Parts: sequence; C-alpha cells; structure tokens
Amino acid sequence: MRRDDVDLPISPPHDRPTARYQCGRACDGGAATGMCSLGPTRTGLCCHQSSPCSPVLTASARAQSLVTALVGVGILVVLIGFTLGSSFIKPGPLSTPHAQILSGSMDAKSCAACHPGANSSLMSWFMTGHDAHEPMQTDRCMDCHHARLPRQYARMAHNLSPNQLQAATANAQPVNAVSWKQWLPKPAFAQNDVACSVCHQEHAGADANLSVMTSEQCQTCHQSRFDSFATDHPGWDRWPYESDGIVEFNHQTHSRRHHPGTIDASGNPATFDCQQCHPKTEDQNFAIVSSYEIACATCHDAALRQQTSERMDLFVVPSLGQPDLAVVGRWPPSATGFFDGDVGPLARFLMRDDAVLSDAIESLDGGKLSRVNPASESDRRAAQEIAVGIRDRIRSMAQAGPLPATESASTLRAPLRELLRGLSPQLIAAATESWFENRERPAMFRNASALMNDDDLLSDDLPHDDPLLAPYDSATTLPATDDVATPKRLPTTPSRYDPAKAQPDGGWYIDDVRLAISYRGSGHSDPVIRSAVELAVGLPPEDSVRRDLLSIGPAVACLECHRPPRSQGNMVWQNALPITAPAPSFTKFSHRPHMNLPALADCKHCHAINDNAIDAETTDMTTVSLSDFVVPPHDFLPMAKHVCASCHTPQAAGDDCTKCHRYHIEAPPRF
Amino acid sequence: MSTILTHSISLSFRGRRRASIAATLAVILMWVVGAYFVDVSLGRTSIYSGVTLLVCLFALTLIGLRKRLIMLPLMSVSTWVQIHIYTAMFACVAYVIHVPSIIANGYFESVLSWLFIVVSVSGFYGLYTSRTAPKRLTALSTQVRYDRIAWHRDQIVIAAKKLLDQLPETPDRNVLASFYQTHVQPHFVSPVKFLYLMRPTTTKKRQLLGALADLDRYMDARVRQAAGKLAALIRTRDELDYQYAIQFRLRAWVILHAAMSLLLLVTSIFHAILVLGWMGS
Amino acid sequence: MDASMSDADVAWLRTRQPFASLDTAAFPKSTPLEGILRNDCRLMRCEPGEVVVREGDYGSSAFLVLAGSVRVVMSSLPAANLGRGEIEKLSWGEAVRSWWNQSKHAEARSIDQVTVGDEARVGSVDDRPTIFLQDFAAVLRNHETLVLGPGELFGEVAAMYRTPRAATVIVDEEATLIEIRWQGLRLLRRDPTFALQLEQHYREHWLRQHLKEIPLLRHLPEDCLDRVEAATELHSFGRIEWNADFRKSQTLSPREQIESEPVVASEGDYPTSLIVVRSGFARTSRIHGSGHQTIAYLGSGHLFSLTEIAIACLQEEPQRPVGLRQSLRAVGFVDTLHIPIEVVAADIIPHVRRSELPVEAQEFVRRSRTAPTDRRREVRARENTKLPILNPHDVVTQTGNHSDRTAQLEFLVQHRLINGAEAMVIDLHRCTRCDECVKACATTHDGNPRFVREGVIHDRLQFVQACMQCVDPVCMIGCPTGAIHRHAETGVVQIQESICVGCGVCAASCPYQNIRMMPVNDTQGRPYRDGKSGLPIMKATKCDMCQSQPSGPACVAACPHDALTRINLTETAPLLHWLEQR
Repeated sequence: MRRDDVDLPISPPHDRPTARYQCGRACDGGAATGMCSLGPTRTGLCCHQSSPCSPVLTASARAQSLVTALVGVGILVVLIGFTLGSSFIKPGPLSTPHAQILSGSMDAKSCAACHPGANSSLMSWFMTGHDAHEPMQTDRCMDCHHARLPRQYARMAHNLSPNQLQAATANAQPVNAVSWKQWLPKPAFAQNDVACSVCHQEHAGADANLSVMTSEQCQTCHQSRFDSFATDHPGWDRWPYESDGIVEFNHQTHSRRHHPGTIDASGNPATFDCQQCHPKTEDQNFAIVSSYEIACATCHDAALRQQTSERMDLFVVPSLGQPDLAVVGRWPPSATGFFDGDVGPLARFLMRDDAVLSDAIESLDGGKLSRVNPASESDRRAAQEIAVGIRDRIRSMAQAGPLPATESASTLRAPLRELLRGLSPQLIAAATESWFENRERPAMFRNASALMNDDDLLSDDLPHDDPLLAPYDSATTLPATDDVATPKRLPTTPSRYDPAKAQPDGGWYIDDVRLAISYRGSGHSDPVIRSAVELAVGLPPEDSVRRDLLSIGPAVACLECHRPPRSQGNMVWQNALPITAPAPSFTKFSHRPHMNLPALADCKHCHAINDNAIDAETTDMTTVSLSDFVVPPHDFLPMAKHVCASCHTPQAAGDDCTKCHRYHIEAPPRF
Repeated sequence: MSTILTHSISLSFRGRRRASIAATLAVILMWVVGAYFVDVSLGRTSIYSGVTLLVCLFALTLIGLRKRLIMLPLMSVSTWVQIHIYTAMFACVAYVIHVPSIIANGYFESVLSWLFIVVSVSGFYGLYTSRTAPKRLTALSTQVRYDRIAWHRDQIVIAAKKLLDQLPETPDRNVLASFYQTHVQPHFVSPVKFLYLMRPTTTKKRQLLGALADLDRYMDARVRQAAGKLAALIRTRDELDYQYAIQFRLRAWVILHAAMSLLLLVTSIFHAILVLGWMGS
Repeated sequence: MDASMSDADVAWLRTRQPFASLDTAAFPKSTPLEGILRNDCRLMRCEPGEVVVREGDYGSSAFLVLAGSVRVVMSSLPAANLGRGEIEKLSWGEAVRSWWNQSKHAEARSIDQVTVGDEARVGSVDDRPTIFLQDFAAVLRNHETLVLGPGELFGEVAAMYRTPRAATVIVDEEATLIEIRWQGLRLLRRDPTFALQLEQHYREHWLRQHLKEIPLLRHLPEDCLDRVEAATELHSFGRIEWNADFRKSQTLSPREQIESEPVVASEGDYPTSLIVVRSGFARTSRIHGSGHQTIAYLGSGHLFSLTEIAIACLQEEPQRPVGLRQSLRAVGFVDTLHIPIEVVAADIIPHVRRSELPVEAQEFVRRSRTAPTDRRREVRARENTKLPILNPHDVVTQTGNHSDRTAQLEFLVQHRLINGAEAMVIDLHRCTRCDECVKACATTHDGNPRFVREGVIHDRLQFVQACMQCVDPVCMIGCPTGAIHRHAETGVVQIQESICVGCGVCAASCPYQNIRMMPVNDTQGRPYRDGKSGLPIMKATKCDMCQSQPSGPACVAACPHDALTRINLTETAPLLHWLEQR
C-alpha cells in the first residue's frame, strides 16, 4: 500500500574516504556555505569551531584499525604459543613405536633424539641447524637401529657396501620390456647418501606406516624400470636354486619311480607327499632341507644299516711263508703258509710315515702280498718288511694308543682321531696277545679254527646267520612238530665271533680267523665310516689310498648320496642351505600366508616336478642329444611367474615391490 | 586518450574467464605432474609444494601493496585481481597436495592450516559476493554511499520528527504519535541489528507497515496522509538497512581476508624457517 | 550584464562608431538598440599588459575597442607568459614520495601553488579580476603582433560560433573596450551592415576551413568547393548558454524536454539543403506514439538529410521526392551550415564515392542500377565476402551516432552526457561500492578526492559527477584569468590554481556540477585568506585526469572489478563496446 513518498535531502558531496574522521552531524554539510567541505581534522576536531559536531571514524579508518587489531591479536596468539615450547611447533604425533620410546615427557631433549640441533631453547629452532660437526639425523636413527643395520653402510643403497651392490647388480636379471616409467625422473639423492628420512617420514600420526612405498618409488633408483609385476618383472628362471650337490636327491625319480614302486605295509604304493620330507617349521615356513631321519630313513635306513655293516679293516695280519718266519719272528700260525693278504688302504695310510715301509708297499703294487713272487728276493724282503711293520704297528697301538706316534700336523689328523676314537688299546692288546703271543683267550672271544671247514672266502661271508637278514628265527617260527626244528642235542662247539650278532649296532672287533682288526658300521652317519671318508677325501685324487678307501662298501654306501669333492678338500656332508630361506636378501617369502588357500595346499601347484628330466634308467639314451645336457636338467621345473601373478594383481593380493622385496639387507645376498 | 587503455583487449568477461581457467588448469596439471615426479623420485614433495605455496602467498599478498601504490603504472588493480583469483585457485590445489588431510597435526601447523582455510574460504566467498551482491544493490531505488548511511538514518529521524510536528495536536495525531514513539522511533534510532546483517529480511518492515495500516481506521484524512509519509520513511529505512547489510558484507570479507592473510604470511614465514632448519637430512 | 552601464555610458556609446552608424529602425521595439547596449554590453577600462583573451580559450563575448589599442599576438605565446604552467609528469619516486609525505590537512597548498610566479601577475582593474603580462616588452619583441585600434571588433567568431579564441590579445596602451556578450551580438546582427560584417569575417577566416574538415567534401576539387562555399548559409539554433537552461529543463518531463528543443528540420518535410552541424549538439528523432523517439545524436561534422538528398540526386527519373525521415532538433544549441540541394547535386554528389554514402543510399543505388539477376549475384557476393572493420571515425558514421539501445540514447542526450569526452561511467552490476576509486583519487591528490561517487543512474550505469572533459566546455567561458584552459595535445580541461581567483564562474557554469570550489589551507592547516576581504580564498577543483601521475587516471587503475571507466560519450561506439564486454 504505497501512498506518498517523502523527499529526503540528498547527501552533501563531501566524501573524503581516506580521511580518518568524518562529520558526525546530520546537517546539509554546509552545502550552502561550503563550510564543512573539508571535514574534521586528522586529529578528530570538527572544522566548525563555533558549533562543533562530534566526528566519527570513517569506514576506512575503522577497517584499518580492525585489520591491525586482528593481525596484532593473531601474532600475539602465535607468540604465546611459542612460549609453550617445542610442543607448540611439533608437527603432529610420532608413530607409536617411536612415541613409546621417547615416552611421554615433551621436553626438548626428546626432540633432540632425532633433531640433532634442537636443545631446550625454543629460539634454537629458529636458528639454522647444521653445524658441520654435529651428527646428521641418520646417525641419530642409527643410535637405536644399529643392531639390525650396519652403521657404516647406513647411508648406502640397500645398506650394502659398494662392492656388494655391484655384485648384486651384475647378478641381476635384465628387464626386457621398456615402459613409460623409464622417463620418470632420476632419484632426488645420490646413491651413497640415502638418508633414513628419504623413505621414512615421521610425524604422520600414531598409526602411520613408516614403510609405505609405491612401486614407482622403489624403482626410482633402478636403471631399468618396469611397468607392473605381471608384465615386465623378470621371471624366476633361477628357481629352483641349483642343488649345491652335497646331498643328492632326485625328486623326479623318487616321485615317478621309487615311491610308486614301494609298497608299504597296507599294500599301497608309497605316496610322494612333499610335506613328509619338508615339514613345517616353527615360523610356519617349510624346511628346505630335511633331515635324514625325516626324509630318508623310512626307506633307506634298512639298506644303509646293511651296507655299512660290511666290515672295514684297519689292519690285517698278512700271511707269510714258513721260511720268512725266521726273519720276522713270532707269527700267528694261522697266517703262515704262503704269501697272502693285501694291505688295506687304512693300513697303508697309517704306515706312510715310514719311508721304508712305504717303499716296500710300493714295490708290491700297493701292498698286495698275494702278488708276491716267492722267488723274488726283493718281494720277499718287502713282504717281510710289511709284515713286520704291521705287527709293530699293532703292538704299538696296543701300548701307546691308536694314534700313530709321529704327530703329523696335517689336516687329516682330525678325521684320523675320530676314526680311531672308539678303538680301545685293550682290544688291540688282546689281539696282540692272541696272535703274536699265543696266549689263549677265553673261548667266547675266540674264533675256533677247528670248525673252519670251508674256505674263509666262503664261510664268514655268508650272511645266513646274520640276524638282520634272517627275519625268521628258526627256533621260534617253525612248528613244533617239525623234525628239523626239534632241538637235538648237538655237540656244543664254540661258534665263530659273529659281530652281526654280538655287535649289531657296530663297533671295532677282532676277527681271529682273518687276523684282522675290523670295524662294523652302524648305519647312517656312522662316525668311523664318516671319518674314513673324510680322511680319504682329504687326500689328493690320484692317491690310491683315497681311491681304495672310497671303494669299500660302507664308503660307497655313503657316497651314493653324499657327493665328495672332486679334488682334495673337505667333505661336506650337509647342504649349505639353511632350514628355511636363505639369510636376509633382497627377496622375502613366507609360505605361511599362502597356506591359507586350499588350492595352494598342494605344493605341486607352484613347485612342479620336471617330468621331462632325463632319467637315464627309463629314457632311451639314443634319443637324447648333447644339447639336452647343456643346461643341467633339474628335477623341478622353473617356477612360473604367472602362477604368482595370477593372484598378485593390484586389486587382489597386491603386486607392490615391498610385498616380496626388502630394502634393508643385513647380510650380503647369496645369489 | 585513456579510453584506449580500457579498450585495448576486446575480450569479453566470459572469454577472459574461460581463457584464465584454461591457463590455470594447464598450470595446475603441469605442477601436479611435477609433484608426482618429485614423489616418485623420493624427493621432498612437501618442500616442492611448500615453496610453491609460499611463492604464491607472496604474490597474493602483493596485491595489498599494489592497492597502496596506486600512483604507479603497474597494471590496473582489476588485472591484479584476476591474477589474484587464479593464483589463489592454484594455491588451493598446492595446499591440498601439501596438506592432504587439510588440517595439519600439531598446534602451530594446525593454526597455520586454519588460517589458510579462513583466508581461502573468505576469498571464495568474496568472489561470490562481489559478483552477486552489486546486482541486488543496483535493483534498489536509490544508491547510498557507505559512509553516509548514518547520515541518511539521521535524516529519516529528522524527517519523521518534522512530519509529526507539523500535525496539529489532535487525538488522531496522538494515535500516530504513540505508535511512532513505541514502535517506529526506536527502530529508526537504532543501528542495524547483527542478525539482520547476517540475514536481511523484510520482516520488520512488514510488521511496522502492517501495524501502521491497521491504524488507518482511527485516523482522519490528514493524519492518514502523514501516516502514508511515515510508511514511506519506514520503507526508506528498510531499504537503507538493506543497503547497509549488503555493503557491510562487501567490505567485511575484505577486512577479514586481508587481516588473516597478513597473519598467514607471517606464520608461513615462521613455518618455512622452522622447516628448512629442522627437517632432517 | 551588470549594472555598470549607466544611461550616460549608453549615450556616450551611441556617439562612437560603429554604434553611431547602426540603424535603430532595424531593431524591434522589444529589443531596442539602447536596451541591447545597456543590457548586453559592458565598458571595460584596461591597463597596459592586461591579457584580454587568450588563444585557445572559449568565450562568449566579443570586444570592441573604443579607445586606445590592443595587440593581437600572431604566434602562440608560451603558457608561462599567461601564468599557466606545464603539467610535469612525476617520476615513480616522486609520486611515491608525495604519497608518503601526504599532508595532514585537507586542501593544503604551499604558497607558490596559490600565487602566480614571475611571468604573469594577477590583479584587478575596477574590481574586475584580470591577469597581466609581466614583461610585455619582451613579448612584443619576440612575437609578431597586429595592432587593433578604436572601432575594431575582435572575438566575435568565438562568441558566436563557439570556437576557441584564435589568438591572444593584450592591451597595448591604456584602452577602453566594450565587451558585448553573444546575446547582444546576435541582436545587433539585425542591423544588416553589422550582420554582414560579422558574416564576412566568418566566411573570410573560418568557413573554408570548416568545410574542408567535413570528410564528405574532402575529394572536392577547388572550384566546386568555391561554389559550395559561396552558397553555404550559416544558421544557429538554441541558446549558446545552454548550461543555464539545462537545470531548468531537467525539471520538465522528458517528453516536454524534447518538445522544447528548437527544430532545425521536421520529419516529413522535403529536404532543401544538406545540413552540417558545425558545433554544438543536435538529435534526430522520429515520431513514436505521441512522442518522439531519438534515433541518433549529431556532433560537430555530422550531416543531416544526406540520405534523402543522395537518393533524390541519384534516382534516374524524377520520381516522387523523398521526404525527411527524421526531425533534427537542437540539443542545447547548435550551429549549422546549410548547403542548398542544387549545389549538393551539382558539386558534391558527383565527387563522392559510393562507398562513402550512407548505407541506405548505397542500397538504393545498387537496387536501381542493377538488373535483378545481377542484384542476386551481388547479394551472394556480398554475403560471401567479409565486410571490412570500419574505423568509427570513418565517413560512414557521418550521419550521426546511432544506437540500438534507445532508452540509453535518450538518457544520454537528455542529460547532455554526450558532451563528455572522458565521462566516468560505473557499471553498478560490478561495482562493489568499495570506494577504491575515490580513495585512489584522494591518494593522488594529496588526500583530496576530486569527485564523489554520485551521479545520474540509468539501468546499470552510473554517470558520475567527475569532470567529463567536455567537447563543448561551457566551464571555460568567462574565466577572468584564463586559469581554466584546455591542454592543446591531450584535450584535458585543467585549472591553473596559481592564477585562479576563486570567482566561481566555472563552477556555476558547469551543468553537471563537476567543479567544486574549495577553500585552501596552508601546510599547517590554516586557511589562506584574501588580504582585502579577509574571506578564505577558494580555488576551483575538478578532475584533472591525473596528468601528473605516472599511472594516468587513478580511478580506472584502482577499480578491482573492471567497473569504472573513462569513456568518450560523444560517440556511441565506445560505450556499446564497453557494455558488450560484460
């Protein structure tokens, strides 16, 4: 409802917006006289002296004072904040591990734990930090972390020395594809000056993950960069790692032939179960190297016991002719007759210190007394020497202990000691007495020669009395009505000492029939046999002692699986591979998370046995060419990358570098 | 003469806006790619973005200096404002890269974050209001200068008083006079209320006019005519209040923006000194 | 004029030439000769060295030497002689320093800013403020002068035709002059001899030059031009002091305003002559409803009825003559040259290129001279070619300043804003009312803003009351010392404060109230006072386009939202162009 409008006066045209004050009166501004055109003075006095107004601030002046006030208050607040000390400028909480260690109290000393130049004064924060003599921040990190990381290489890439890094680089597989990431910039730091803070930024919150890295960031130092894991990452051509050849085991033959060929107690072929030999370890990984007991004993132990039970002679008293006794002296009658007896390798070895003996042995083609020509004087003399030497050795062993008197400072001393450790001088003394002194020994320890009808070639080797191979005891299993089984009264004749019965678990014994000091092995890892092999391996390859030692039965049994070095060296019985993965290297892998998936419970999903490996026994070798042997066919197929890549995609299991690779290497990599 | 200066580039505002946005986006894109490069090469993206921010901040605050030194031919302030707007947009992007969580942890740095946010938000609000508020003001019947609004208010009070004084002392006049004393005069005398400044409404005007119209039945023709003029004064006062509210917000954001930006500059320099000294090797 | 003319003075005047030989019968009873002499003349006693008129100034009076002599200086005097200084552009350092050392008091001036130097001297003769040359002898030595003695009239062209004074005139010996203002001159022209004398003077000195300035006639050979010159008639319409009428006319309704404007030519009449606007402003309008709609406004050099005349001349068979499509009215005042249609047909049209004719005439010619098929071919050809971008000063716009925005056009003409060459226009849709423009003006003027953000508003544009540097500077008329003058190169109207005596004539003259008289203080804030009267000295202040500042106009530079501009309103193109931008 609009009625009249009111005409209000128009405002006088005396605006001075830059002035501090303006007229405070609602008049016409002296428009008629122009009196108020100048406005109040800067100090706020009205220009009209006679009837002054009360000047008010202009909007501009009010705005200026407000801005000044706001800025002043703000600066005051900030400065007050600074008086609170370092806690005011702390840019956020530390991650929990660090926060706990620096526990609680917020004095500057805790800041100084990582910030070298910080001390208690706040102003120190505003003064530039780096004094050349002060430690760098990385050194501060190392003050706590030196246990895991080498201090002198803390700033090197991967914490490796330059040589190690170079070796690793030389060993690295090239990346085939070229991706656009090649064009990304070079790293923003030098390779020998990688401070901790390059990757690990603190003050990002209590739950911050300090080790977060993208694949591109990992690759920034690497010369060849690839786009993604699935496409460009090098394959695992090197896996399976070559067997170091210490213990031979062929997965392919075992899974294809041996296990199916073995029928177990319930009549089924033995299953080739990976986890039977590679059990889970404490850290939920699988043992790469198993132990004999777990992996091999089930099938091989029986055979090994049998094989090692074959005797190993230390000394055998040779047989001489009657005329030689005049030279030699007392000689066991059973060893008199004709020249016979070969000097065994161990004996030959123990007599090496004597040059005359060595020559004599040499002249007889390695101590083969059976080759002695009775007509040859030199032969006879040699044989006599040998015989005497053996007798003397045995006697001295009886008196002074098994080790030879002359101490040789050779490396073979250790295996020799181990070899002869269990050999009691009392045993030798008993042998000596019986053989060379002709003193009777109790019947039970005697091998009655009267019963020896057969040739010793035949009798004592027949195993028919060996309880190992005679599972059936005739005394117990035959029916009672059996005529054969009926115990008859037979004349009790003293039986020959049968180490198989008396010492089923092995040991040194004396064979009076053969006049030998022999050893019966106890099965796998028998210490004496082992020492013998070690002794042999410590000799140069052309040495006949070595050759002969390694040809004896028990040694052959060992060497079927344990490969000796080709040349003179130490015998390594076990794989150098550790139980689980190699020592910290660039790659980390744990079976544990994979075992959650039922599909991967079958080891063969990733570890495929190479069915195409050439098995000499089943393959027609005429069809095989030389090129098949160029790359030694391994019993495992190389692990295929696509098997990993099928799950390790960015959306699924993740394909970041840090999933499988480490940055901080604590020991040089093996590969 | 000087018309040539204003007409030299015949680009319309829309065209200028499009070109500026395109240029800003191009710069942002290149800068973000640069930030990615720094991140990928394990450089310090916070230094990269921080230096950018600081440089932008200096450039942005220079506009205050330009406004003071208006006597120097350093491009017109409107050109500076355009550069300021687009540089500010770029600075906001740089800020988001610098502080992805928007508000930083830590007392000092959170103060800094809040300052930046206040400055940015006030800036964007200022842009919005500078483009929308003038049209509202132009639509009003009269234009008043801000410093003169108090004077106009006083004129209304004087006119109202004169209006009533001109009427002879009669009972109808008393009706109007009492209404004026109780309702209108307090409203005329008082300055604008804070709530009205925040959200101008016509509620008060309609209330008063409605109440005044209801008094018609008690007044004779002459007083009614005076009441009509009083209604006109009420409408004028309402329009004046509206002018004040809109002009106030057109000025207030600048004050807040300028003050906070100075504070932001000072604290940013503190922050830069701290960071550069102590960020660790 | 003032009442200084007594009857005795009038009687004495009647005895002097040329008034003695004027025919009193020629003057109507309403305006008898004595009346004219009394009301429109003034006796001036002048002292030697006094500057009567200055070259380049605008004036509305002619001067007649009654006794003594004056010297007309033939070459331009240096500004310093006239007490005017050169505006020095400040260096950056000086500009900043002057801002830094801004005075604490309003309108502070140092003593040498308010008093004139050595070259000239401000004084007064018989209470009439005037300016004296200090070293008249030197001026006489260095410059060629022409002596005017008793009975000789000077300055009438400037008075009658609103042109700047042609030369500086200095009083030689003590002289008595009679100042005749233009109203009187006009009335005196009733005497045929006087009129003839005036006209002869104009034709002799000015007409040819003005004709040559018309773009349409620039290709005319000399003999044609002679004939044109001989045939041209001089007319003027409206009041030359339109600023006085302006305020009165603003109280009328717009319709009444336009109807009160004197008509030069009416719509519908047949054109008898080509009308050239020589100075002042005119508008063309068409009857629209029961009122008149403005089509265009014309300024100096624009032509009216060219289209109709061209069509009439170019049609092959005499057909029905074409009537004027619009009326021409004088806005304020307008001086015109009328060239008869026969002369136009014979001597002008043959020498005008078809492309320089108005578009309608071109169309007509094309239509009438080409066969329909050719016409179609031409239409197609025209559509396929790009039209050249024409300079707004080209001949095509010679028929006036048109605009599609009629309401805006009406507004501009009605408020006489078309006078402004540097009008301050604010786009209210972008103006945030921050007053940065006023603050900038204050900053560059020692804290004293030279305008207020007030002015008439039309739609979204506000035309602020800041000096528009008019093409028709009425403010310059009547300045006793020539303090207000126009810079020869930039065209800026500036006030030399040292010789301004604060009479207020310019402020009163300005129809837009863009000049303000301000009391001046010294650097301590005490007002300067006139020695004799004790009143504070006032100085005229107005926008000076920041000529001394390195930045140019500070208001334009300071607006943060592209809302403010200084724009030439004598043409329509700049404003339209500026509005298109937004």
